Amino acid sequence: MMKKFLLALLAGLVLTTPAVHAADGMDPALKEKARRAVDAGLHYLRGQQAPDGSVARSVGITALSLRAFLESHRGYNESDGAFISRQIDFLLSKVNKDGSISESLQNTSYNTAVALSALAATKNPKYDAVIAAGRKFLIQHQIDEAGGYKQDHRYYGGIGYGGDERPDMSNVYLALEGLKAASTDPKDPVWQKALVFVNRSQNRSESNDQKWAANDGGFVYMPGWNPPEFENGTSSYGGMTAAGLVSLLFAGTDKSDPRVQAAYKWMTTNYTLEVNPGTTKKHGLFYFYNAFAKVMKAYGEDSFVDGKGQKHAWKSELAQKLVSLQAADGSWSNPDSNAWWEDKPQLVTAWTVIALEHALK
Amino acid sequence: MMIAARWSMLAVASMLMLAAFGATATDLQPSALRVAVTAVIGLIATLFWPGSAATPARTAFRIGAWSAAAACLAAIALRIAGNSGQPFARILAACGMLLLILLVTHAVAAGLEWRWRDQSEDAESAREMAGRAAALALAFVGSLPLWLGPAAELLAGRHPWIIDAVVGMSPLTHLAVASGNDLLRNQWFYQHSNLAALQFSYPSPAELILAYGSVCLALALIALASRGPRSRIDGASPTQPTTEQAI
Repeated sequence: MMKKFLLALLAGLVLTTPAVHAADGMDPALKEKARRAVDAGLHYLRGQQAPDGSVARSVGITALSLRAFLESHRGYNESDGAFISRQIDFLLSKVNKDGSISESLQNTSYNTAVALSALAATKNPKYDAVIAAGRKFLIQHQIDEAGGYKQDHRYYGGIGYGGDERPDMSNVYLALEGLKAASTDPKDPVWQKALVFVNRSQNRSESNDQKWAANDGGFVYMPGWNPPEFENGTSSYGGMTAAGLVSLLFAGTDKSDPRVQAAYKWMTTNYTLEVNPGTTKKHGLFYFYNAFAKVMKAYGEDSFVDGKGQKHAWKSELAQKLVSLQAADGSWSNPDSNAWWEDKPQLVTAWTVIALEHALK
Repeated sequence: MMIAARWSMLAVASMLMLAAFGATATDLQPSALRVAVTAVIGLIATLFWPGSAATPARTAFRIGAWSAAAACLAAIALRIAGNSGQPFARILAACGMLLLILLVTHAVAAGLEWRWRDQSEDAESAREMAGRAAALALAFVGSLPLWLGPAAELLAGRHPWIIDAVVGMSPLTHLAVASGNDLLRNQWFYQHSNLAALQFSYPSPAELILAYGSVCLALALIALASRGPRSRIDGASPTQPTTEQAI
């Protein structure tokens, strides 16, 4: 009797194992390849660390690298060794009196935002004070009435690279990600103000009061224009639509909200992993992979149907694509564009590992 | 008298330029306004260079006085135009950097003027030409990130320091650093310069002060080394016959 029960249990396990994989949405062999790619990417990043724990002597890249380690399937934490703790020490050594975390006067907002996300990923309450100060810095950095801007100004609610610089969707998305990681009160006005800017960056005239707004639901770089890499203009493109959609979700907008639905529709309709969607260019392609993985994970659907009626399992397709693009040394970089530092393997490897980690979860 | 007239012309021209600029640039952040005002006044001040004096020491004094006058004018313009968005410390930093830039630029103008006077005997046209040449040079070097950007990007693969060098050599960058402005990421530069999306670092304020301080010191030493009245200046043009009176 006991023997029969054990056999039945074993048979049940064997039969249900593929079902578990099917539910997971990724072929086990591909999953294994993706995990190995993550391991190789982390190995590359570990080799790029300077004795002070920094990667590329940059707070931003070090923070992204740290986050890649902490969120990996290996479950690394500070107790695993100096390759983790030294990166944290480097970030802490760059905390400034105003709460920002940055090695330079440039990119203070960007650096602080990604550092907040990384420090929050340590889940160590020891860093709560640093995180709180960084959160305060980012909130103060938002363009609003305190800086003499009225709500009808197209910069209102945005957050730029640093100082009083003009804001853009890319920085807003990273700042909101940092603020969310830093457990910012959902009732804090920073979210609603940010939504004013986010709305004004979406090609959706029902929620965008700017004259140029079209109606495809996608996002532009900032109200009224795109970077020259995408011929300026106001056409929606993939990197910013992913950034805009994830910003809407971070700011607490419901999945059923028409703004979210419109952006999701644009993203799935224009889906491609070959170029930055909505363009014919490969500029910012790895930025797109990273933001796309985050937004699809946040949106919570494993598959979707594109504009041609074809069904896509995004996790598998993204993992396959990223695995195929990895260099022999474990790194990734964009061979087709140096825009936005995508020729820098340390940055792109950290982004890609994080993207793969989102696809693997 | 001549200096006072030129200063009035500088003030009027600067205000007109800034008024025209303000009427067309609607989205200027406070830090970008500091860069714009100091850059415009810096260029016009050089164009209106009042000419060198009878001796190197007096010329050095005039360079300092003219540069300081232009920097003060920029501070006043910023105070008027900026309302509460222009903290005093930021105005001071931006105008201080303008002063350093103008000290060097006017020294170059004085040097050119001396050289051309020696060659042409026409003091008036030598002064005008020197002012124009120095202003042109300032605009040329200031816009380095724009016109040298594509070449720098091409060469950056083999020489990664080139982009930092091109960005760091521009006096416009120096004004932006002092103004707390991320110059290349301003909307206009972001749209028109290829460097904005690439990796680069601005020089630090300390590095800039050290660099300008060294250049000013070197120029002062050169002026001291060539001390003594210059005979040709004594026969200067009617607009500049009595440099002693002017100073």
